[in-house]
Amino acid sequence: MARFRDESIPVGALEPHLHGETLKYWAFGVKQPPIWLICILMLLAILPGAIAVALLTKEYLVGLTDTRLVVLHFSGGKVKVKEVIEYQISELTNVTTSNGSIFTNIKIDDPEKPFTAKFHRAGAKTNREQSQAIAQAISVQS
Amino acid sequence: MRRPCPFCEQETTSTECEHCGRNVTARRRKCKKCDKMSPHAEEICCHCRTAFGSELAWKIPLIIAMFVAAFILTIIVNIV
Repeated sequence: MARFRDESIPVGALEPHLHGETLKYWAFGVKQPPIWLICILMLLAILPGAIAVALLTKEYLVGLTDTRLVVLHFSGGKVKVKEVIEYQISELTNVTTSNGSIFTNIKIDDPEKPFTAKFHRAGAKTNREQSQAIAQAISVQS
Repeated sequence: MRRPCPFCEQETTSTECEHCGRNVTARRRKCKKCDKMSPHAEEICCHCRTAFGSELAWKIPLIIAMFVAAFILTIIVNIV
């Protein structure tokens, strides 16, 4: 994006400083703060955002049995369970699933137990296959 | 299907627990104090009567404080 759309403005700004000379060329330039200061300022702006996203992200483990879909809302590496949601597969309705190149999305529009999550392919070794199998099984049932 | 009720831990055969009367398939959360499950719809733990608080109660002020601190630090770095 050009800093000056109207080229007469920079030329006009230079003109009072010309003492009978002819202006041959002109150009617009910047001097930014040092790179280390730019990095610090960028980090200051990005870090709170990244921490806020991490704080507001919920982690789920989803398990499918022959009769139920069990959803564990957990925290920590040792899976400290905070909340449990379960659905009878035979009673599942309004299930929306989709597969992208990175994520598998599962959305259950249950009025009492709504659930939405996306499953990253790198979440576990076989996360993509497992999540796609769950998505397919529950979308066929509903 | 025979299963233990997640709330009273008694064996039950129906969706409504014969012992505590709660829906055994209901959305439930773990009490931080007694580590037992309570229905999500109930505001206090059905075992130890501890009130459930929203996690956002401490997360939102923390996030705001981080942004304010970052803003102040940016100004300080620019002045120095």
